[in-house]
Amino acid sequence: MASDGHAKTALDCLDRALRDKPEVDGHVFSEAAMALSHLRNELADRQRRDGATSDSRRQLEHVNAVISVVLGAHFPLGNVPWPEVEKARGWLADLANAGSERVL
Amino acid sequence: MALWDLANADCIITMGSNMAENHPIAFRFAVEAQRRGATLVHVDPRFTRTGALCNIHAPIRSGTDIAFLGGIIHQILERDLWFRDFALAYTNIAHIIEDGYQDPEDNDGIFSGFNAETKAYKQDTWQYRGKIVPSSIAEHRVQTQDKTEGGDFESMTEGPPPTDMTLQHPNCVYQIMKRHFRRYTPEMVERVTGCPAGTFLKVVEALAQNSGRERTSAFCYAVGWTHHTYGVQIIRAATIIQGLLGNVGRPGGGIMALRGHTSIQGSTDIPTLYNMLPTYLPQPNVFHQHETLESYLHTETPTTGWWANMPKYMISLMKVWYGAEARADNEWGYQFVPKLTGDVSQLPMTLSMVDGVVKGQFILGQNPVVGSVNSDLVERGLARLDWMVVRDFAMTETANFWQKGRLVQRGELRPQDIGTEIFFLPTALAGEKDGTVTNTSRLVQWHDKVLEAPGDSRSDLWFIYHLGKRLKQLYADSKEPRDAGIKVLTWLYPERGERAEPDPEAVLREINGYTVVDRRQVPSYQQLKDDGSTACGGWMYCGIYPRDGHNVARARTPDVPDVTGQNHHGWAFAWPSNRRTLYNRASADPAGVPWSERKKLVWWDAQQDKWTGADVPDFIETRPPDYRPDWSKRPHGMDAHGGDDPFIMEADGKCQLFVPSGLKDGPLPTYYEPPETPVKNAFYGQQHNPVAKLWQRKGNELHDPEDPRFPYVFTTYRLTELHCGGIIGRVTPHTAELQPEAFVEISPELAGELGIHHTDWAVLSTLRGEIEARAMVTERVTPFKVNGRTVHQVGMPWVYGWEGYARGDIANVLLAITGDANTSIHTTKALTCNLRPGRLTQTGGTSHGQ
Repeated sequence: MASDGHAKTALDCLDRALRDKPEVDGHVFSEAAMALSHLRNELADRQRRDGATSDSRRQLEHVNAVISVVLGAHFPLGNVPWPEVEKARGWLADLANAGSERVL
Repeated sequence: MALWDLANADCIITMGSNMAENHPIAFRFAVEAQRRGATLVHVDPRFTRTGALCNIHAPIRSGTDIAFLGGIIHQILERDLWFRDFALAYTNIAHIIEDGYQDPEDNDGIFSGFNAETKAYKQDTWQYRGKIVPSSIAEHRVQTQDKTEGGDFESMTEGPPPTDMTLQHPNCVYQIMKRHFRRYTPEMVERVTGCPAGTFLKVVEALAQNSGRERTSAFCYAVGWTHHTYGVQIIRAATIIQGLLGNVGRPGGGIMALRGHTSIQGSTDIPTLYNMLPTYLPQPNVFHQHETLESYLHTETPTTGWWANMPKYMISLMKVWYGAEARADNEWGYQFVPKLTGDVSQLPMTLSMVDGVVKGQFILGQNPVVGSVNSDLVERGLARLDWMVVRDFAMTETANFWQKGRLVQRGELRPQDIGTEIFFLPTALAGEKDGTVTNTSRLVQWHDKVLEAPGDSRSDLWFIYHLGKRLKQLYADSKEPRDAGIKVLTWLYPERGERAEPDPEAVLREINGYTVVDRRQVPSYQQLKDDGSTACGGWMYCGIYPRDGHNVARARTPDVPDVTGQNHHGWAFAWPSNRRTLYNRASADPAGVPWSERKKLVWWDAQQDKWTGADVPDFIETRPPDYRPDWSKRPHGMDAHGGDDPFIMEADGKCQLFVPSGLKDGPLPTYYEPPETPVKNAFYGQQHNPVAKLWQRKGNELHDPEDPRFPYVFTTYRLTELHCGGIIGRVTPHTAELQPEAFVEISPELAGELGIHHTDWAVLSTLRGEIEARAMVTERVTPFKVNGRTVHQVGMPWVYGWEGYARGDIANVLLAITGDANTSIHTTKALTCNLRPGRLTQTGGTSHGQ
């Protein structure tokens, strides 16, 4: 499923970012943002098409939260918030795992 | 300083601005100063009409301002030209810095605290010894703290910072500055900037001879200083000069920020900026200690100085926004305020558009396809939006990029493939609406509507107000916590006429503030409270509408000619408190006596026990000069400042020659080359600002230093005739015919080398794109001798586009997206390019690997 692919791409990017801890303007964050945006758009489209459920709303909220953290890491005010990136990576992994059984 | 106060200056250095052409109203005060005997200096790469009207024109290569200003500082220190009584008493020149401080002189261009992995500084070694000093700039405070550092500034209440008034301590600011600037000799200034040492020294003499007790000098700047990756540090360098020479808070002294002709100052005061709440309060940030109002205020409120009042301003702001829903038991509505995660200023936003993150945009008062850097990348971003609303009075390049844009013209995009739904809404012009303009001098001037806007045109206020109403309606039934802020937002303004135009005076009254219980106007910001009893939309504007029916911004009583000491207090409103000169306590000596009769402004009146004079004193009115803090009581706020500490917004009341906190790129300005340059940094191995925001990616590649493909320095600027982003002048026949098409200014020497004749076509190229323009071969531009070799510079106005009668290629196509380390402002004044005679091919392809 396409959403699965985007989630996986974004996870890969965040893993790379956490491993390499790139200097500011890591292109990996740009890649992650692109994949997450695709994922968000697909979730939003699906919600509009099929109607919102508590699950779909939660997924969308979590993806949006991950995007906010990734943007904060890509364009940081001060230091790159690595602990929060780690946390966001966890949310995304949870989503992807849950999604493989349900929506994603 | 006030604009008209320039007339009181004895020397005016304009730098980073073509003031005569782009700020002609302001320049008349410079001309008046000259008529009274002042020396005018223009430091600029081009010999413009400003230079022509000045006594001295000092040419410098674009982007080398810190080398020039650092050279002045070197001269002031080495030749003891500084105003000793002023600087010793009022600046931090004697303060002792932490032992661990290391200078770029020790580290080949890097300050201590630099982390090469994160490309960021820690500022602990820049502090006053034993202190943690809060920055007076909220924006900088937030940017330079991470979650683990917090804002425990209590050390400032334990006693004054350590000083050595003999200036012998090796780590006092004076000694650090002497070491830091020791290599900024006239010879080095010439080698780096290209300005002949003799001309440079003439500028130094003019400045030094016109500073001191009896005389004052001013600097004027515009975006020629700010649009660099080290723009803040250029202004800092001027601050050091003015602090050393005593040209702060005094008649005819200061640093004049020439603001844009529309309401640019207003747009930072009541901000359209992403990282500040109205009147310079910090926007909360998720990644800082801002979880609760208590932690936010604890982290962000300086313990000493005037900013200790910040809680009053923040709570009063939330009372305006959330009304009865701002209560003590819900942190006055703090959780309704959106929190940042990162930099979402225009440049990151553009890159995020390209990445598909951003879904829609409102464009008001801006034309980013022309006015933003890397125009092709901007188009690519706009093409990825779902929707875009453009409000303007005439068609703009931003609104019709999908049809006439460069990418469409080149066949890289097809209109049918662009999914962006665009809403073009006509706007009212200034004369078609009531409201205010706030620009240079922090002057807020009311203007009245003189005629009805045609057709469906509406004011921006109308649009925002009705958009807000509809959003509130849309979210009215939402149960989501994230929507609560919109639901509780107070949005009640009287509507007028058939068009339901909101009353702008009602907005101004709200910005001024009122007491909650009876909704009476608050007369001054000193009366704002942190207990929820007052509401205020912008504390610095408090006093602009001090009572019902009294709109001070509307005041239009001119001064009586030839009577001194009036200061135009009857004309409009300057924040705060209708004060015209900030830090004017410094116009008197530590004992409260004017430094000289000729330059008196405010002084201590011992008989009345208060400060008085020709301006509203920027000080506690009844605080005597001999007041001293009682450190045994751990004083907070203004109790920690003495009666001889004029710089009340700073934590210790002193002008900061050395900045211990708040700047991301160092406590002192130091010379770096621009991100793109044809030469190596002659000062250090560190080539460019190590913490500059550089976002290299496909379509935004940078040229390496000395890249032979791009040998010329390139700079951009405005034209008098084509106002703002150009569209106003380009669609008006009378002004369009004065500047009918785009041109590139080239020196006769370079034109000769390349075989380009006046009015020939020429092609300019960078890795971002290529454009063509008519050649203006002119002696206004001259080659520079830099480090023993000839460096050519070309320049081009950026105000052209494909709309209107006066058309031409967009100069910003050539520019890269890079940001100042502190402000994220883009770089438009110094980069590199190639130039060749002829025209673009019909297909318009670029030749450098895009």
